[in-house]
Amino acid sequence: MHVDGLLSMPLESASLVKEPDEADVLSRARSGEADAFETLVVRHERMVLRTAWRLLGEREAARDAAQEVFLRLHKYLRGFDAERDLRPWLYRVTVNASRDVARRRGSRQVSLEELSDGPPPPQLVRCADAERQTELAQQRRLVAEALATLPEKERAALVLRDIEGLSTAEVARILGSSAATVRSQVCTGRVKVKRCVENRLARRP
Amino acid sequence: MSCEAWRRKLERHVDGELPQKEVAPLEEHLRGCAECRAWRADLEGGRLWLADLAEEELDTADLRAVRTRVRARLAEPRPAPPFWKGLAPIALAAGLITVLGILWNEWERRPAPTPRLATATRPPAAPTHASAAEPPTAAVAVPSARAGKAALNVRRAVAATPLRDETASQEDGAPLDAADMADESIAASEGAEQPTVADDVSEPPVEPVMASAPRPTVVKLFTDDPNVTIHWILEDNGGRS
Repeated sequence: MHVDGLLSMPLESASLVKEPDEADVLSRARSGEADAFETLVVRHERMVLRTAWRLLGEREAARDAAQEVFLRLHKYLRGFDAERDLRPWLYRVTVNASRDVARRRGSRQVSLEELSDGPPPPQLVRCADAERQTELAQQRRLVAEALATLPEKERAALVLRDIEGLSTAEVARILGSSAATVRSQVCTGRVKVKRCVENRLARRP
Repeated sequence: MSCEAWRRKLERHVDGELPQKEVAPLEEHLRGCAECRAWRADLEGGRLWLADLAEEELDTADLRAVRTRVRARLAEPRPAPPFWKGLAPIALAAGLITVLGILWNEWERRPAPTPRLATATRPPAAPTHASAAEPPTAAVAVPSARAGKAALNVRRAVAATPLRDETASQEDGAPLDAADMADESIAASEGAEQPTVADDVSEPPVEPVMASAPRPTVVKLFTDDPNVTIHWILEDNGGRS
């Protein structure tokens, strides 16, 4: 399959392309149409890359995982039911691919203690609107670092539930666990993240 | 209800998953419980901070890099399968034919099935001294050479004592003498052509052979091995010890 169309066009143009019906695109992609597969990639790339980024905490690793997800999509496309929603499958593959990438890279989970013992975050600037973006970026960095300290399964549940905005039942289906387990993991993770960020902010000079 | 139970409800309430009828009792508990209120603040604070991460824009360079990599990987020519993959079906067929040939050859050369000899019993008037209900013990392990020698001895021992074969007599009316029986037994045990096939070779058949007083009784035990036949020679001493 030669992929020349949408994958090579500028992102801005791709976002303006009118999205045809998902089932129709999936059906055409299954039958081998390169353009239809490219449409699927463009439509879901943000979701996949964002999820992988939050799960892995590194942009380069997230690129690797996202690439792996779309290659798997291409490989297994013929087995898909065109009427099925593709997103749950993509989320599941993203979680699995991110885990594979983390192991391949030998990524080590940062503990809460290490994070607390590290250098304190810089003083947030709370004045002009122009500097609001810097403040926000710093706060997000603290949250992302706190997220990275969570156990793998807890982090996956939290990313899918709170960052991707899926329901508890959807997260449970994607991760292959019960709704009660997911709810427990999500709530525990939220509290850990909140307390970790507050502790680091409290140490700020 | 314990605070732990209220917190489980609170977790669902924060996500809007608690049934409406349970919300009011929960709110009432929260008004009187500072710990559960703190728990709710942590849950909601963490959720809001995490949800804010979703607002962070992805770098378009990352999206472009993913597209480029996927495009490059899919445009790569697929590596040709190794040459031996084309030979695999041929090798499989050749192996299958070889195995079938070996099995066929073994089948053709298989030993004759364990024969069942015509049952020789004492004539109706004579008392029975041996019974099939008394199976011999551990006679199977006798080596073939010894068994063959023992069979020849039995042949000599029973040659002089005429016996009758009831089953044979019923069929053709001609009695079968002991020598014939012994010949038949030995020939059958050596894989000759005349015997019938045993239905169950797991238990050796017991064959009583009786002779007139002081006739010896010969009991033949056939084992799973067609080359091994065990003979018991029982002599009636007239009740003397």
